[in-house]
Amino acid sequence: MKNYISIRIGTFIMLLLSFTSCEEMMVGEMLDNSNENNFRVMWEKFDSHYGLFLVKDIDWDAVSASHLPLARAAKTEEELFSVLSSALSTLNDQHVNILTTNPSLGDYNSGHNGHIPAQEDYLFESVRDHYLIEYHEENENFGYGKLTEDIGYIHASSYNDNIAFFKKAMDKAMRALASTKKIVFDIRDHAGGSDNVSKYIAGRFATSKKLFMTSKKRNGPAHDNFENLIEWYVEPEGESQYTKPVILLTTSRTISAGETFLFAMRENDNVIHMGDTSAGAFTDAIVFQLLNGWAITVGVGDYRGADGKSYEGIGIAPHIYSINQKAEVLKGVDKTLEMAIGY
Amino acid sequence: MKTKIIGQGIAALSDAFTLKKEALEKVLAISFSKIKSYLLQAATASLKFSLLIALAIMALIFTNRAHAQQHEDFLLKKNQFSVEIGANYIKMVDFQYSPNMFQSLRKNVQLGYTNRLRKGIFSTHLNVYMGNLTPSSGLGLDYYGMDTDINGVETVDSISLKLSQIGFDLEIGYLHELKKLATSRTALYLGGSLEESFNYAPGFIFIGTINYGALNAKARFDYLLGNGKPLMFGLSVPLVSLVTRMPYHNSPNYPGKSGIAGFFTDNNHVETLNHFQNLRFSVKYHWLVSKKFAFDIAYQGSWFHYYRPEHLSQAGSQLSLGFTF
Repeated sequence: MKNYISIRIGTFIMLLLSFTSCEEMMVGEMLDNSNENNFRVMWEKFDSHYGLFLVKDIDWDAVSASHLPLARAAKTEEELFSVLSSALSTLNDQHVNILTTNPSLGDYNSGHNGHIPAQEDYLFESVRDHYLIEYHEENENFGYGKLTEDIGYIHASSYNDNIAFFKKAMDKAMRALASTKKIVFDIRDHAGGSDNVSKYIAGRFATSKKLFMTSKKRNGPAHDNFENLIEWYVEPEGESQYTKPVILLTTSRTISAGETFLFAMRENDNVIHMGDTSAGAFTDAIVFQLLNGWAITVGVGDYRGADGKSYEGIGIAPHIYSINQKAEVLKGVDKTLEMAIGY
Repeated sequence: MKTKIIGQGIAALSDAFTLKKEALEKVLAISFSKIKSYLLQAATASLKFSLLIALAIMALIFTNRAHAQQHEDFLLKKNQFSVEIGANYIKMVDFQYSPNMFQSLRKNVQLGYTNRLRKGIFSTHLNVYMGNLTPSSGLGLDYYGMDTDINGVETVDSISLKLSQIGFDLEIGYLHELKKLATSRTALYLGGSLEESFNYAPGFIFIGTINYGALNAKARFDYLLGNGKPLMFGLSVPLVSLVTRMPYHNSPNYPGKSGIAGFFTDNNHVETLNHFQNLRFSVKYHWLVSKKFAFDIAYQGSWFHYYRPEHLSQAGSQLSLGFTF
């Protein structure tokens, strides 16, 4: 009797331990990593999550009809990359990227229809080396200083750190620049980050509460399935606000949270927007991995200005245009900054 | 916690891949510093040598009935504390992030307390864990992008995507002994527990991130082996749960609210067993060292599935070593 029970228990334990190799079976069957399936997965992710089909009037089904046969026929990674790039080029969206695991292919950006080219109209190093009389770098993406004793300068190339960092950094900047007569806020190489940081920093120049942006994001499989609209307001923030004139500088490389910051700052009465039209890519984007390991980024929202209009693919035009030429930039000359100083 | 993608190719992700796990890592590193590699090897070895392990346990079953009374006294102790460290090998698919399967060897530490009442057992435990995630198929996670400077010089930048998960389970429960079904060698308990569990992927890719509070149905079967050593089998199934996952768009971003606050306040769903499954089966073996102290070896198999907003499935095998006093 004892042996009988022990044998049953022993057999049960052996069955139990055989479970240790069954995880894959219990998690589910995986799709075959074919070029066709990679295209399908990419297409379906955009179909279910991309937030701008209606804004850009894109027939995504037609893109599938024209490109799926090409994906089926693709024999190599290069050919697949070409098909995926071609499909995503129809979106004309700088938030849409393909990142490959193949060094010879690299990446693809839909808005630039290829690799992202070099920025030729601005170099921060020129500003720091030839124009600033002092500069305090809080981190590689944010710092403040002075162009003259009366003109302050703030540079931000990203809002990617947590908001606590920017609160402290702005407190320092505001205290250091409190006595200046105007500030040049330079976001000409701003690559994005947190909208809450954009809202906060713009609030350090605000005198009243104003709507600056609305956003809504996909919450279902149909192209018009969106969650409730969210309203974003700029309002006075922090221990003090700078209400003297501010010249905000942008280029066509000012993008994403740099542009939502632009939305917010333009609602402040003391801000003049100078430079070039911004990039025209506002929404949040998510990362999704394909079957072959490549990553795609998908914009999931529909962000609009306070006027209710979408500026996706268009950008925000400045009050005053000024575009630097590459030859001048290479010599360390920044005509746009000089215009801002003299304004 | 969620930030916009920067529209600059490879630079878009470089700042996002920041893994913030220093605090938990420090605690676990101290706990594991001397036997970490042994446990990892043990867990991996259990996959390969499961038959050998089964045979070893069977051999234990057939040894002499020594110390039977001491074991019975140990099991009936009113208050017991336990400390366990273990390794949990999991495979997971989270369709919100990718159709690819990922695997992880999580390291965990668990503290437990049981209080034997007249008619049952009250218990509570806290389990914390962490582990890296890698694709099961062996796919590389090195991404490349072309960068061109103002002088026209092109370089290929690369970034290696490192995924990881950290989390905890806190459970408190009661098991009522079914005395009518008990024998001199067996005991059966039925009961329930309340559980809070949070699994988080630090950084920008929230693969597998989920929080749930569950009311579980639990069962436990104790069997005193011929050699006097106890074997405890456990089963747990959630009946009703409050489950939180990332929203459909996977990008919580609300004015004046942090991403993590948005995650916890805006995406909660009450689910029953038909939509949220978290089946766990365990076996535990006490190796009595003295009247008051026993070494433990425990195995837990688990299967987990939730359907909203995209399917998340996970299966795991955990091997733990510890002691009870």
